[in-house]
Amino acid sequence: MRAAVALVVAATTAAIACTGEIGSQGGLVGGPAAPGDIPGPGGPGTSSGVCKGLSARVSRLTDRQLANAVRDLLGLSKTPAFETGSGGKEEFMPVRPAAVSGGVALKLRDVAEVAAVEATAAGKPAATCAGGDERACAKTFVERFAPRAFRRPITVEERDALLSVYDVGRQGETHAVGIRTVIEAALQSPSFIYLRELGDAADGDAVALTPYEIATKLSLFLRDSIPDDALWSAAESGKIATPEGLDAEIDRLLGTPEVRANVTSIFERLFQLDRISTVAKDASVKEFTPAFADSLRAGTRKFLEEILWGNGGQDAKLKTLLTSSKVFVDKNLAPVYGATASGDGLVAVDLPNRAGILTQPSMLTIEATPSDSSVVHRGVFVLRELLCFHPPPPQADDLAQGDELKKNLHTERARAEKRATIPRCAGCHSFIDPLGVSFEHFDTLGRYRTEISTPDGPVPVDASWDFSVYDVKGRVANSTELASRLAESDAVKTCLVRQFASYALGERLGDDQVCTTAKVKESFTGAEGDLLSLIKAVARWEALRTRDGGAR
Amino acid sequence: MSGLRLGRRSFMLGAAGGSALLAYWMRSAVARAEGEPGPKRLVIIHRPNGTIAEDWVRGGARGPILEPFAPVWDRAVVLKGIDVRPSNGTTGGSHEAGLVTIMTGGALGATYRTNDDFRSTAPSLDQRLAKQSPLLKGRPIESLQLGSHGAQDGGNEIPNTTLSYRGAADPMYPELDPSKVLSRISALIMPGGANPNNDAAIARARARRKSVLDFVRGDLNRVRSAFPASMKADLDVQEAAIRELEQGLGGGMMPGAVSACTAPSALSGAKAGGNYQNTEKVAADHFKLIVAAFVCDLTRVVTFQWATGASLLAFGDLGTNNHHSTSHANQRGVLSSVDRWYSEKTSAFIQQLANTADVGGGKLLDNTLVWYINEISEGWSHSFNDFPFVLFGGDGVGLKDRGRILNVSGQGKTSNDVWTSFAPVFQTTLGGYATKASGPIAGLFAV
Repeated sequence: MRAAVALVVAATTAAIACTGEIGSQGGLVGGPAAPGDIPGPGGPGTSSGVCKGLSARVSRLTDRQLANAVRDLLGLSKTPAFETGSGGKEEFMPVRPAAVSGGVALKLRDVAEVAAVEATAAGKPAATCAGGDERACAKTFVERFAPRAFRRPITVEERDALLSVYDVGRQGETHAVGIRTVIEAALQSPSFIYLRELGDAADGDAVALTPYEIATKLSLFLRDSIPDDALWSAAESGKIATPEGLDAEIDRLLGTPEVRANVTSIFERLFQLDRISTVAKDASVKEFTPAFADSLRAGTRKFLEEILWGNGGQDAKLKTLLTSSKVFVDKNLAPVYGATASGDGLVAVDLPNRAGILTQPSMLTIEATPSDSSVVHRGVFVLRELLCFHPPPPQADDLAQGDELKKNLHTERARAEKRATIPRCAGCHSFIDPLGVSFEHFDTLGRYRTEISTPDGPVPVDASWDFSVYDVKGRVANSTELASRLAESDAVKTCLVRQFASYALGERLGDDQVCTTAKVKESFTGAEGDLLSLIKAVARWEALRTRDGGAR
Repeated sequence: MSGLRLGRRSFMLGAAGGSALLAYWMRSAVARAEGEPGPKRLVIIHRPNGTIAEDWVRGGARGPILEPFAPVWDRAVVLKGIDVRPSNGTTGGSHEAGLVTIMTGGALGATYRTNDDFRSTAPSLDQRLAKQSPLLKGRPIESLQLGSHGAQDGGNEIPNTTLSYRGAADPMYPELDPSKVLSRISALIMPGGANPNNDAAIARARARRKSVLDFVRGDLNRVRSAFPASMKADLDVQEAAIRELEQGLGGGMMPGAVSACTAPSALSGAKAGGNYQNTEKVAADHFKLIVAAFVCDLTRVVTFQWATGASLLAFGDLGTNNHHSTSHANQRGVLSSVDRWYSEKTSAFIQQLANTADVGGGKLLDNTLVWYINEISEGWSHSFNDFPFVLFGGDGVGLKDRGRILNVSGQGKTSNDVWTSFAPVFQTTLGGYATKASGPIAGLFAV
């Protein structure tokens, strides 16, 4: 990682003015300015008048999907480790997976060979041939296995090619070795590695994805893996391509523990909770140990589980997510956050001054510097993840200027106030800083505080600010008030729809594509911000079933 | 476990993973039996977050951090005055830039996610050697990448988590789990050595692997027509990878007698993670495995990372719960103790190499060149000057005048020049670095 000094500075100054001229640089959304007089970084889902549909395409399965697919396809006891440097495993928005270069191919071969051995161990179904006609068993295996691996029916040519692989593997060896060789071949093939979203038609205005493609897309969203048996049947029968069949499968899947766990994980990814494992604090922050970090993460996972699945789903509301004062603590966490916990496990406590996921101790600990709060980290997080505005990174000169501010100004608020007066900073920081300052009552570990010690003595916390950030306007007193305002914000709802739709698509939706999510947004707002309605609406999103003609 | 007893199934896993190369291994084992010199090897060992200069070399002599190397001092040359010069012209900077530059000699590429998460623009130099050196290539395991602690401070930046790159921006992450390395190694050790049955098994395994690649290539050709044109580049990359794997299957085989070799004794079972005491156990297991792999001549190129660049490893008893964070605080006493700890544990491994009999006679270390590196010089300043490097080895790799500190300060020497200096040991040359280089270091190797 970069020098800690640079980290702080980099995060303290983002100084390319956030104006409409920047267009889509650095992930900025283009299009017209946000409502009112704000210079235009676009917004959570702007409409420039052009509505661009999504193209048919092919992409590589991500590392995580690929590993899960190998596990499920072969019924392995553990998920194989497969990581290629395509980005963090638990990232919400994957970067484009690396092509199958020499290093990736070697890794894939290792995974395939080890998995194939486990799948064909003595007594496993794949290695067993009842009746004794091994060639017939091999044919049956190929006809069952290869379509599931390739997520489509196979051709006779492909079947015969795999049977030839079997024949070579079987020669002088056992039936199991023959099958093992078939598995190795399938798992290294482009047909397994690449995800098709092409449909049947070669061209035309709109292309319907095949039932197999629809089932796979739905499965990758909700199961984080390839279709299970029931979903596969719905693809084979074509039911998945009908509205009723799709709804039935979505409802069935959302009732399963594995899908519920994955949906919880999707929220964890959105809030980037796995970053807790790489957080570092200064040596003076003695409370922060690896066990403490684990407890923080577990507490917030429990918080998400309770909201999404507790109380029969009644609490699965955006409002609860953003305003609940509940925090889950165990023996590690309780004393630090002014709560009591007895016994082993996590217990729910209501903590004063807490409002939702953004004030969970884990989030505040991640979005902080090693020794203090961080207005910029916290502000940028809310801006990016809940308002879909990605400010451009600071330039070298800005970093130097940020360093200067730190020398003379001893609180995060004082630095934010100064940035508001420097034109080169104010452009972006007029969006970032109000959001970040709201959380100033929370220190580097997310402990509540009423004053901040500085070289000049203690300074009382002032977390209030005059907002003009999208539809959050006027004086906001603190993070509790901010959370209520965000929970009511239309901009936040638009952004969350965009986020989850992008997640399901596996690619960040462009500004001119957000329009395709209009119905999803309708469902979400119509259901009063019900989060499970959001998940269902995204699963039904038309773009996961139909594409514009003409593949990229 | 000592004295390997593996069933036929175990062998077949290995055969699937490297059969034809195994044949080469057998051939060279025969050659050795006829009196040719033993295999030469290269090991790079990385420990993170810089050193404390005055405790490294003090008054021109071994300082307290180097003291643990006393038992192998007659195997060591400490290099002083070598700089690292990344392509962005800095003389100080990030952990990532340091590690990529030392290992690849290439220019820093575009960043992945953060402002110093640089992509490599070249293969790492250990991989260039593994591919081009006639003395290093052709082993059942082309090269091994191992590590004992994988968590870095404040991010998950790729250049800190790997030493080796197969090609540009193609990291080969270290395996952190010794039990997986054990399976890989054990599977390649063939009970009974070469005999007609085993020879036939090797031939069959090779045929199987060829058949797998034939299918994959066929599938690639079939999808080409179905996939959009934008996928062509990716499919070309995979096709090149298939070609490379095919070449790895090798040509003719010449089975013969193989000297006995055994799997390592029982591992501790420790899993990577936790504090420095657990990391020591993981590393000790990896070291056993490296020794076993060398004794069986399964591989000749190893890179080992004690911990990632900018490691957050906790050394509670030594005074830090986060090595990287403490390095910024410049707590010199604590940092000195930590780097001394790395010296102690690395020295124990060097001693293992010095005491273990080599397949062709002598000891492993006689024929093994070990380069002990760090991604920065001092942690608090991120200096890129005067890196704390040590070379270990013996006459077999031509390391001259051991037991000294070779000071090349003022000669403009960089990490690239170290690679240039020892490449001839492996009967090849390295050059064409995109970053600063000034030629071999005089008087270091007798080649």
